[in-house]
Amino acid sequence: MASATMTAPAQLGARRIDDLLPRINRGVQMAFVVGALLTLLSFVVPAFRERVWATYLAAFTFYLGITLGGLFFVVLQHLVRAGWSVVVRRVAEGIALNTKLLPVLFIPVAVGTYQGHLHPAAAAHADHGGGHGAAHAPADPGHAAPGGAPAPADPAHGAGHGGGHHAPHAPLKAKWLSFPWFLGRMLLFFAIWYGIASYFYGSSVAQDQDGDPARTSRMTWWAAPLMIVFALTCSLAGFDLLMALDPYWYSTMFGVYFFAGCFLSFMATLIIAFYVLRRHGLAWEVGPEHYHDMGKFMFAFVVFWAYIAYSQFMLIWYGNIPEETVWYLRRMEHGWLLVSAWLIVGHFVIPFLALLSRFPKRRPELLVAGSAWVLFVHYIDLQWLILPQPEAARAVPVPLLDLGLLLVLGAVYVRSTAANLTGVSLIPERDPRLRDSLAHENF
Amino acid sequence: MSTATLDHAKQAAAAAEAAAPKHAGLLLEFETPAALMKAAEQVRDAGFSKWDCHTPYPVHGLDRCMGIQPTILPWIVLGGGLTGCTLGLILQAYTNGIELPVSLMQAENGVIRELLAPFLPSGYPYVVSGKPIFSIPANIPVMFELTILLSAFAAFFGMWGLNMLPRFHHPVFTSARFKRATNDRFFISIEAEDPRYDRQRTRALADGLGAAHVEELVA
Repeated sequence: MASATMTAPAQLGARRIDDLLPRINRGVQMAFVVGALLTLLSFVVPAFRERVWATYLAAFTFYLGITLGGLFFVVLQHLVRAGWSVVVRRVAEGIALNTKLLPVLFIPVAVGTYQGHLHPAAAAHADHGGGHGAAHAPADPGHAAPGGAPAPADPAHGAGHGGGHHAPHAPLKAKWLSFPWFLGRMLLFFAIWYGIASYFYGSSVAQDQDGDPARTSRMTWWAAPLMIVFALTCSLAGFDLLMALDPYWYSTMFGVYFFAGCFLSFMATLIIAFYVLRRHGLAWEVGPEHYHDMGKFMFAFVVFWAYIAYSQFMLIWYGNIPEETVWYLRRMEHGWLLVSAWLIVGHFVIPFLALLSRFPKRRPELLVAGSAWVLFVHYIDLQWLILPQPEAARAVPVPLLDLGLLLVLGAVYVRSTAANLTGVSLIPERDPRLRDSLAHENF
Repeated sequence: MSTATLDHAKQAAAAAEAAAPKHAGLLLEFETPAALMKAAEQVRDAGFSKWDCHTPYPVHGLDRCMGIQPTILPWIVLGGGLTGCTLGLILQAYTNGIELPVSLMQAENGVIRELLAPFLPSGYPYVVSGKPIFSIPANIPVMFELTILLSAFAAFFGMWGLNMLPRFHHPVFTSARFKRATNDRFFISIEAEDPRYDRQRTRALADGLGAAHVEELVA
């Protein structure tokens, strides 16, 4: 029996992030300053200015995805009454609780949308009157590319719709995608996610004090209905944030695609988070067995992402209907074909082969390298989803701007996560399944 | 004594030996997994190869105590998967009328082609919904499914092969005590067929392993 690993709670290692806070703050401040300087270049460099809204949306969606992945992870572990994951759950709860940060980070997305830089159908001056809504948001270079080159003509779109029409034909869809509804829905989602996250976080932290196993039973009961709520809201948020960039295009699989990326990036983040914590002498309870399981999750979602991405592509390719294929056609021109092909290799083939065997999953250094790669390709995936859409941004890739916005939002995000975990244990100390988790072994 | 009588006596002795229970090994019973693991380490160090542990549930760390090497099964599965993937591609290429080796033969040597023709049923270059005769996006589902199928077969039958299954009998099943191996007792069985097995010395070793009960198995 693995009695040696069944340490009593009193013998556990350091579990408080509090002493680490000054160091975290220093790093966060540095990242924020560097990122802010890069971002501020967008006021002087035209190439930056053209891309800033779309890039902000990519960076926002990146951190939104990690948060939603964390929320899903927490609900899932309760839903299936998982034993192995108890030691990693608190950090996941802390990440999920960042849902309270999301409405703030969302403000620029809302402004960009209102001004017509992002979602054509949700722009303030989009025409929603009746069935033939011919909004001019992206077709109008003055708004789509403020100060930049005129938007290139869109042959695919022009061919598909006879040009000019950028709001959906169906009145109900036009209404659904309009700005007030878009904003209202997003705020509702933020409220729902925050409700779910704070319930699980609060219950779990309260259990550290009273050790009441009934809390675990209640959370398990709530996990089932809340999982359904999560699935619907996550899907719809994916539609609203990314799919609505082309108001005509739709794919019922898009929500699942969005979710696959969310969970994948979250697992990568969790692995990196524990690697960093352990390097600072915290959370020693998380050992190779837990890395192995987190690695398995990440590997599974690499495959799941590829499965969904391919399924979506194959159905549209096979159906060959213009209003559906236009979305992929746009990703096969202006150099995006290279990115599309590269995603197959970078987002599937490389991580698939690298994470396939047991070997790297049990070695934190290798697994962290794999996680960093996964986060990188996930961000490229988000760019691939967003940037081919707003016409102004199509031509020029500006990696420095991406880096700047990722650093700014990342600094805020890390600081918020650290704040969520300050003053509480990094391990759910009195969870009834903690012993299972500590003694966990893979076969 | 005539040779006939002698033969008869030999036959009788052989028959008696065949009918008598044959010594097949030892069965050691333990009450706790900890005792089992300790004993397993000593059996491992004594260099036995034909022996095994029997527990009612998976005991973590037991494979280390038994000195079991990592399995090669993953490699068999990888081979099965790659075979399935390739097979799926070739199958679709061929049935869609792309027969590269055959066309080459036709070009180089008409005689061979004519000789083989009756044994080479040809695929049909049949256009479906305007797609190319051969296109990877359309072929991936079949390649994927065959990868899964042959991987699963390789895992399932590879496991049987590595464990030398199916096996319908084992000496441990002659023991009445062994029934508790699925309930609350932990066993080690050492087979007499092991090259290191010696009835007296192995028995002496077994008696020193702290087993709650040592039983001689018959086959």
